[in-house]
Amino acid sequence: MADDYGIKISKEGYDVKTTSVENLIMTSVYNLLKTKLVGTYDGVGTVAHGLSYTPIYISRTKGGTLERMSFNSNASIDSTNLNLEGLLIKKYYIFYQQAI
Amino acid sequence: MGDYGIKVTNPGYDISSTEPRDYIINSAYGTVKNALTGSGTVTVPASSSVTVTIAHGLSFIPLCLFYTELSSGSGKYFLGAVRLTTPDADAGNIYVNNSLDGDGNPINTYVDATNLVISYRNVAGSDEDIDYFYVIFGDSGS
Repeated sequence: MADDYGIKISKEGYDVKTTSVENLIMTSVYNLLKTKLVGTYDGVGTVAHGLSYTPIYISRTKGGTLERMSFNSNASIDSTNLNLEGLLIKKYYIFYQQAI
Repeated sequence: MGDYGIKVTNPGYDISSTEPRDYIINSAYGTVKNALTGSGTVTVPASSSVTVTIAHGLSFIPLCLFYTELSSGSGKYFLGAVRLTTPDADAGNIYVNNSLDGDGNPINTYVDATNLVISYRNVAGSDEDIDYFYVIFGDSGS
């Protein structure tokens, strides 16, 4: 009987039984970033994430008229809120995974 | 009958847990999907800039991350558009161009519905080769 068990899915063309982890779409051996909140916010403000700790997040900004997202974060996060700064529209992802 | 799906906990945690952090995967919660990853090396000319353009093949503006070894050979990769304050042991001579035009559009480094575009500037008097890598997600970044 196998020592451990779980689930894994390989990329097309790779043998799921033998391939290395970078060729897997997912494996229950490694945690996935689970999304808690996804949204957009225009301007300065806060988004309460509802978690009791400081989670991992990603934030990007959009300014101007072109359909482009910059890599300016214009945000910080604490154990209560995602704190958004500046006058630009932000797109954010807040994950369940604890940052610190 | 309740809802259904798939869930797998971290070792040592009961499958009846209601704490999301206890799970490796739980279909009750969305995840970001890794659509494309890659890396490269680019030569940034002395006292000049270079642009790296990566076609992501998605039909929308994706969420993405990129990391750069600003100081060649340091082994330290910095996330996104960062410019360290010199003098800094890890700042090297390279930074990410991250300017906006008069309308607020990013003009050097950005992602759109076709490409991830990264612009590097070299303030040194000699060319530098720097390494970078990126992760592009199959999730909307706008």
